[in-house]
Amino acid sequence: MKHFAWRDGVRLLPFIVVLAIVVIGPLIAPFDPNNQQIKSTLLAPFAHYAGSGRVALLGTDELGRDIFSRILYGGQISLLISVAAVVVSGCIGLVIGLISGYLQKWPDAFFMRLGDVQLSIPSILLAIVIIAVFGSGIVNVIAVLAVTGWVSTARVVRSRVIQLKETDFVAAAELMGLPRRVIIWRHILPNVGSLFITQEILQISRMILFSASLSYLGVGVSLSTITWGGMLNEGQNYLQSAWWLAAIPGLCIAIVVIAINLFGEWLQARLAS
Amino acid sequence: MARYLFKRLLQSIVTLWCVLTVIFLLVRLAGDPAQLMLPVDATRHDVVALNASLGLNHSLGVQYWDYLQSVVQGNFGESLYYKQSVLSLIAERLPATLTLAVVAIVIAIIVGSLMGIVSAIKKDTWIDRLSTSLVFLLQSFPAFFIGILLILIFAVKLHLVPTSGNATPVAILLPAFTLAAYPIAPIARTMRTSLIENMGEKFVLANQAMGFNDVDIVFNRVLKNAMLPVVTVIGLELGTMIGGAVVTETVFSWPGLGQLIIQAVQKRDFPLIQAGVIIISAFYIIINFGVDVLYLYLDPRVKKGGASR
Repeated sequence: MKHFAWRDGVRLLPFIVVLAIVVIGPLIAPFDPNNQQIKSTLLAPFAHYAGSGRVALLGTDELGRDIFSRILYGGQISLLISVAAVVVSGCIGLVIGLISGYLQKWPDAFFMRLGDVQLSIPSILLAIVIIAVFGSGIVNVIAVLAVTGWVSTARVVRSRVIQLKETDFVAAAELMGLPRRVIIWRHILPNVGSLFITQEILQISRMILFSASLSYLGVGVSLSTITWGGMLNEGQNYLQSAWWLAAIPGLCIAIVVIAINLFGEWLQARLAS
Repeated sequence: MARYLFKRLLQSIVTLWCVLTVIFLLVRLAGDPAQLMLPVDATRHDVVALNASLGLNHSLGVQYWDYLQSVVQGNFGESLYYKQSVLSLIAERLPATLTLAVVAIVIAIIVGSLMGIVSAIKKDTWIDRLSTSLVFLLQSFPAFFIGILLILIFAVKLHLVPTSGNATPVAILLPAFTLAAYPIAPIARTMRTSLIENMGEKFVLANQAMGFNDVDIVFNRVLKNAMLPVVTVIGLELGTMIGGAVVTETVFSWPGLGQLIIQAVQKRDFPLIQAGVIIISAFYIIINFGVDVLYLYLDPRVKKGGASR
């Protein structure tokens, strides 16, 4: 392991800060995110509320709702959806990758062809069709994201498993007549672990971007649920008069994704060394 | 070579058939398709009537056969909302999407390749770091947000281009750059890595010893070899771009296929959604086939080795 240097800090700190803010978000929100203040609509950042004189840190929207509070609530929901989707798709991808890579033959052919077919429908369209059929809502969005995400994990795991099968220790375990279950569980899985984890961290940022697109298009979770993509969608109508309505949630998405990607790359480099 | 092409063609057709089946099953899985297609307050009588007109009272096997037959004949039925042939609706919108996609991919290839080439030639200097950081940033911004930022700067503040629609020729610039933002990053990255790898070859060292400068060597000797992985990445990115087009068209109210499909979802116009997704997937499969053929031309090793995928 390398020494911990300032370069590590640059890659780790944004992730820790962003994660902390998003997790405790609703606790530090100064206002109720759905509270409408009709006298203080479209306030610019740092302007004061009419009456109470409190500061609207990031301004208010067209209904006078506090954007800072909405960002904090929306962030938690967006991250929750993405992490849940990555857990589900990661598990599916891991199991399929292990089976395909280890057994090969027809299960491998079957799953890889299935993956090819799925990838030939652009994922956003697949998501739109599934949501059009089964309806919107948080659980359905998580399911849709999971369905579109398993292929890349399965492919990465599979190719690693195929490499591992060629190693002497796996060959030795096979010669000793250990059951497949034991070989996969004790000899293959621990060696797939680090690759799998980096892959899934980077998947989280992909899922955040993807679910934000769905919310932006209005086919994700219902509009009454606060999401950053949804806020952007509503804010776009006020670009001329109140640009921060769209700019702030967009920047937040970018910051979170940058933080996760930096962390993912740091982890990748660290585990590889 | 002919054998490889034939095999690849067959593979494409099987993939398309699988896509058709998946979409058929998805729409049927949801229970009663007639219920899905009709407004919430539809009467029992409406449901029965629509079932009969769509042939939904037949068995699943018969329906599947009918569906495959009509798709092959190019008969995608009638839009429930517009009351006109789905195919003519799509044909109306297709040129706008294709124009946008072609302009965007050209921008992405030029900008992405140049960034990658500059990075590789100036490896480990500040120029390389700047370009690599830009690529990283580009990948982290949601495409629709890039679009909105462009609108904010170039349309709202500077009044250089219209905020939406495709009334004037310059109107394509913002949506095309937005759509190009995604593939630029992977193209630049792959180009950089691939060039650096190729620059390590012995013939490059020989050229350098003969006194050719690096720019000359890259453009005249290395680029063609280095293009191979870039072509693959471009092929892979086309799928992302088609998906991105749906979002980009919504941001800019660009009257293309993507916008049509999103509106169809809002209006629960299932025949239109189904046809739109099938046609876009078909395009994607055809493009991928094209990329593989191009690969064959660029890399003679594939010709000799047969199917190396």
